[in-house]
Amino acid sequence: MSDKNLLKTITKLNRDTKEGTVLWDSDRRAPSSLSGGDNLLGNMYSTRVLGKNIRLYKYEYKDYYEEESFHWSTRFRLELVDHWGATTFIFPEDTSIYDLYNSVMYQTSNVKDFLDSYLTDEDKKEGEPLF
Amino acid sequence: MSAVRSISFTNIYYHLYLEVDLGIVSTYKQNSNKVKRKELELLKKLFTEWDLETWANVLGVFSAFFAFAAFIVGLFVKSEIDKLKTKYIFDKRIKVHIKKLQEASATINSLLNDYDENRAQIRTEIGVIQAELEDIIPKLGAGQRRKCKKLVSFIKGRKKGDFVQQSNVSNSSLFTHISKYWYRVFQTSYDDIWVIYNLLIEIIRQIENIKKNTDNSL
Repeated sequence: MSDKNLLKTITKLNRDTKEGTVLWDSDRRAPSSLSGGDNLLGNMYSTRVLGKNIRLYKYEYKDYYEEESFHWSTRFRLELVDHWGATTFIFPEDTSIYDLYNSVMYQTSNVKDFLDSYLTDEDKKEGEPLF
Repeated sequence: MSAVRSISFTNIYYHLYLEVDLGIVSTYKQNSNKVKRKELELLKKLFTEWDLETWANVLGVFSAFFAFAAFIVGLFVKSEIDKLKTKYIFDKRIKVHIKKLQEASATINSLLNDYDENRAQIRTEIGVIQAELEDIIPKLGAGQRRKCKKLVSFIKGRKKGDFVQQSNVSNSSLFTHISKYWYRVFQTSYDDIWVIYNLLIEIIRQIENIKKNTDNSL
């Protein structure tokens, strides 16, 4: 399994999410893969692709720089899970997972429909250059 | 039967002779005697008579050789110094480069949420990516530059074209596929932007790995 194929999988998921081929569900419950000190930030998103359950979420964890001192750092996790919600594979950390998370948030929040219905045609034309 | 007997080096000449066992007298012994006499004469002029002209000739030959060798060593040292200088600048700036490329990929990603509306901004953003990569390319090694150069030349080709709407691209018949590639000379499609995004992600990963290797090395 090469790094390149993993990256390509993540970017393909991203593209399919934007095009509406892959649809995600959101959930507020913390996933079982988070350890005691970690906290879920925002929603957890899940989908099913080719019979595999995929989970995506953002979490914060304690980043220790000395024995007793730490600061909170943020990470994104994309993982495959089985039917009971247990993690079977975690994708390596990458910029593309952050981009995928933003695409999933955009899709699940229906921002586009909201903007289209909220802004009238006149509102959209306002501020556009004359030429 | 013939056999190679010996290889003799005299001054700047070397002679290779075949000596035939049937008794044909070779010129080897006669020539080697001549050469030995010349060598002895030269040594006599240098160390016994201290002939300045002979010294000047001999030293001239040696100095020409050493000057040429020094030139070659100088070129090698210069190239190593240039590499060190580039590596130093790259080590200082690598974090900034990674951050800028990550910001660019995030911007392209958000613009792709509504490709048709954001075509002008996408054209601007890929120009920014091109400029950033052109800044990075001289700082990378020869093998590491390939991906960056590939993306830069792809962006240069696509930036000039007309950014067509996503809905205009059809993927049905062979004729449509061929006609799409004919028009690719003049048009940039939604798929092209994804190609740029995918290559950019790979380059970010590559530069992050370079940084990790640098951090873990001496």
